[in-house]
Amino acid sequence: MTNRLLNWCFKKSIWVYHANAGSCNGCDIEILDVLTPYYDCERFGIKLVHTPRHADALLVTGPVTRQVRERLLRLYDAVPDPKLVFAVGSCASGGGIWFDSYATCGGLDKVLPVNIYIPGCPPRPEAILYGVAEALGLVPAQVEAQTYVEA
Amino acid sequence: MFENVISELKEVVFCLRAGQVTLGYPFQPHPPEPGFRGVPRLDMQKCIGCGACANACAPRLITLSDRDGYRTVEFDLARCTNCARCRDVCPEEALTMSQQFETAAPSLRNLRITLQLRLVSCRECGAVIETQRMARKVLGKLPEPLGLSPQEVSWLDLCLDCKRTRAMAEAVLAKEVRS
Amino acid sequence: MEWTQLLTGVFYTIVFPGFLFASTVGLLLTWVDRKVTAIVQSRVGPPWFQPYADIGKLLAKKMFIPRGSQAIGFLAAPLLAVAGSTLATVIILLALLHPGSDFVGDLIVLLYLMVLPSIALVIGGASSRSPFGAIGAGRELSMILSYELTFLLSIFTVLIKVHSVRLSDIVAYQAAHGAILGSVSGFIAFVVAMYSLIAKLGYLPFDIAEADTELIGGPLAEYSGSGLALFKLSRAMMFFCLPVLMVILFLGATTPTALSIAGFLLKLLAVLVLIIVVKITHARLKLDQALRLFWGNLLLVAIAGVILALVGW
Repeated sequence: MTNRLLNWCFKKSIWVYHANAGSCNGCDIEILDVLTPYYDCERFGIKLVHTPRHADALLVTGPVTRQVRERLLRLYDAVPDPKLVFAVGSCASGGGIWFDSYATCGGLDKVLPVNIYIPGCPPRPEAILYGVAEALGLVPAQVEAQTYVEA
Repeated sequence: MFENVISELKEVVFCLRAGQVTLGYPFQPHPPEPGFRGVPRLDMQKCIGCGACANACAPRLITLSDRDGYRTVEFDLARCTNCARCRDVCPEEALTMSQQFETAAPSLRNLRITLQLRLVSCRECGAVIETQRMARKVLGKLPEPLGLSPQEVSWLDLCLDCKRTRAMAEAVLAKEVRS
Repeated sequence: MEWTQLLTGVFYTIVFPGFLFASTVGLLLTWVDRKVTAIVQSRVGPPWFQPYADIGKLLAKKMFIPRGSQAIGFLAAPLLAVAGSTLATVIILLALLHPGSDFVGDLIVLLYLMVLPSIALVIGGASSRSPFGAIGAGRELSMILSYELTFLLSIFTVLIKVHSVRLSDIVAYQAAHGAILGSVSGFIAFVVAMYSLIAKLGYLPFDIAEADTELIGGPLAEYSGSGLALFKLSRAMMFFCLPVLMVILFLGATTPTALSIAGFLLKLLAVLVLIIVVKITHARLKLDQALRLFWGNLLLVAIAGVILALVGW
């Protein structure tokens, strides 16, 4: 019973910490947009905190550059369990245009275990909200793998 | 000491005049504006496997590979930047930029499109010429009474190197016969 | 010591006006704070159960104790904060609900108990091995030394008028002579007390110690999980007990009847809305600006209030 109660508390109150791992700031601006009154994420209990120790979820943007990789790993260790990691933007999801560059690690999943990928360049604020809701199990994923073999 | 306190308290009255501006987003859909470029959508019946989109893609996420009589066209939409260069160069208009932007996925497998098309191989040497759909499109563009000799018509399913070899052989033979 | 007395004491401290009641009502008042903030900022705010979900989630998270930190101080600080705020709320509410159970000098005990949450913040910040905690602890100490003085001076004004240091006497005086806010010195003391109250609660424009964007939480930077939940609970309880004290001291409260409870709640709401509106519309002051304010103009105004009360106005 307490398990169900604590699960409900976790679904209703997510505190996010935003980490920029070498992004161009486009995705950062869209994350900022989610915090404005127009899209009002406080309705869902999402709050921006300024230290990873208070956070539940990491919103990481940018293909992970070589210099930031070690700091990102330390940030991930500083977030207390249970935690979620969101890869926001095309750069974090698959490396973006820099996927084979010598200066980046080619995407967030080469560095941290990712819960939800939110592609887009930059993803709309609604898409970011949809991704967070999907991580909490409130909505289903809308994209699926498409395969077609010509007969 | 108190003047700016009073003026800032008057700001509250101004702010209250705006009412509530929050969109009803998750409970009501919020469609984007008409020219919006969301994820690319591939029409599986129209694609001929020509590879123009793979040439034009900025993050190079479209790959074509030939194996076992099939050409596999693969899109890895995780790093798509929605630039629409692929849509601009597609000769068959098989790619459209949809208005879908809610593409969050728990795994990268959800973001892959895979299309396999049958290939046409050379009758003589077995090298890959083109996909069957491309061959059908080319044949469909040829004029109705084909101005070709029966021998040239039989060359239609040879690859370029074999065609050249045959044409050279024919030219040399014709020269020998004349001389 | 009689068992029934002990049990009623424990009941008062833990259940009724004590920990459970005060934290529930305090968290509801923090929801009122967030909702009024949202309305002024033209958006929908969080639903009413949001603060409870926040505390529940924090209790479920793992708590880190930083390596090399002073573990005793780090772990005792949240407990100290909760203890101070719980006992302060118990004393204030019992003085309202059971008029015979207060004692001479309970206001003085109350003033000591209400400093405990701020001291706990200093201890917690100093014992977490973090530069943000150290700077935050230093700033909080500087602020304590400045706002406590003006707070005491405004309370002196009330004591001079009432001639007694007992909460029930203050209540009785206001029932007889009208609210202390009505007199000139009372109004001056109320304004000074509101400034000190906002600084004590750690709200803008005086949230210098816990500056979110400068010091990433200040003394609270290294707390996570249950420690952070206890600090937030003590903050919610202070947000309940300090405005109630304001209403008792300046706006007048009487023994509970239906009409007077409604009046009391309206006055409490008025004080809360004043604090919230000031919080929304102001920017954070720098430390030297705040110290100059409290030790400069506000001190002179508070002394003027005391002198006017002595004269009889």
